[in-house]
Amino acid sequence: MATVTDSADSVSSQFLGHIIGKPVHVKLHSGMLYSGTLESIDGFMNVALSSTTEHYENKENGLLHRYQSDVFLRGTQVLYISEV
Amino acid sequence: MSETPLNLLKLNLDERVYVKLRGARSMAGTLQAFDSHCNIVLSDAVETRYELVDGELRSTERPSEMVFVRGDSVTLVTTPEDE
Amino acid sequence: MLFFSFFKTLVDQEVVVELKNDIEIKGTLQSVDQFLNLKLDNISCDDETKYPHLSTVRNIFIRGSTVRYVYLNKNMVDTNLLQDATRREAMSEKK
Repeated sequence: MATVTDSADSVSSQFLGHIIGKPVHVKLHSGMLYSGTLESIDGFMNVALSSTTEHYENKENGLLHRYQSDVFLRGTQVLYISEV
Repeated sequence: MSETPLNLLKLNLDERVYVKLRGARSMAGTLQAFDSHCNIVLSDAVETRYELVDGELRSTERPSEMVFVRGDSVTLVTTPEDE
Repeated sequence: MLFFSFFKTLVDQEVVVELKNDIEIKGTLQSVDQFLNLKLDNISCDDETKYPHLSTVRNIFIRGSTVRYVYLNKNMVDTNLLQDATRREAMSEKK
């Protein structure tokens, strides 16, 4: 049991370390999709993105907002983070 | 080791921030305090609420000189572009 | 702990609490706990349309998780102190 938990921890932290600085999609439970460069992330899935765009559900839908400054997304609201 | 997202938020203390909340609401105000739950205190704030009234999108604004926002409503924090 | 301490400084002040179900209640903050549950004394209606019919109720306990906003006055808050306390607050992940 402990071994499974340990390896699960290192897989997720390896992933998080790997995607820093990369373009990512972050979708929230509400369906809002934020795309930008991953500036920072923590174990609670709190995220800081730069050059962020906001769409509903997917990028094919209209651009809702382009944020000029860094955007902080609350980890409890995050559904997924994926590399672009 | 990069700063955690919450520590980056500290840079915005005493600055104007734009906070998106659940329920088609947002707040703009001066960031006075926050914690890891995203509980926030804003001064000179204005809340914007979007509602559908008879099929029409309407927004209402409500100003407050000082307001505590509970973190579980918060989805996004950034700095406002224009004010 | 930061906001627990912050609310403790607001005891005996009159505040307006807006709940997530849009109910708004004005009252004097009597006590607060670590979950930011609130007890308000001498409650009254600030906005008639958002006030539930509690005409005979004087004191209430509000579960913290139901709160959306607490409206305050500027003179209730020392902003410099608050900002400094936030800067000192450890935002690091606990594990």
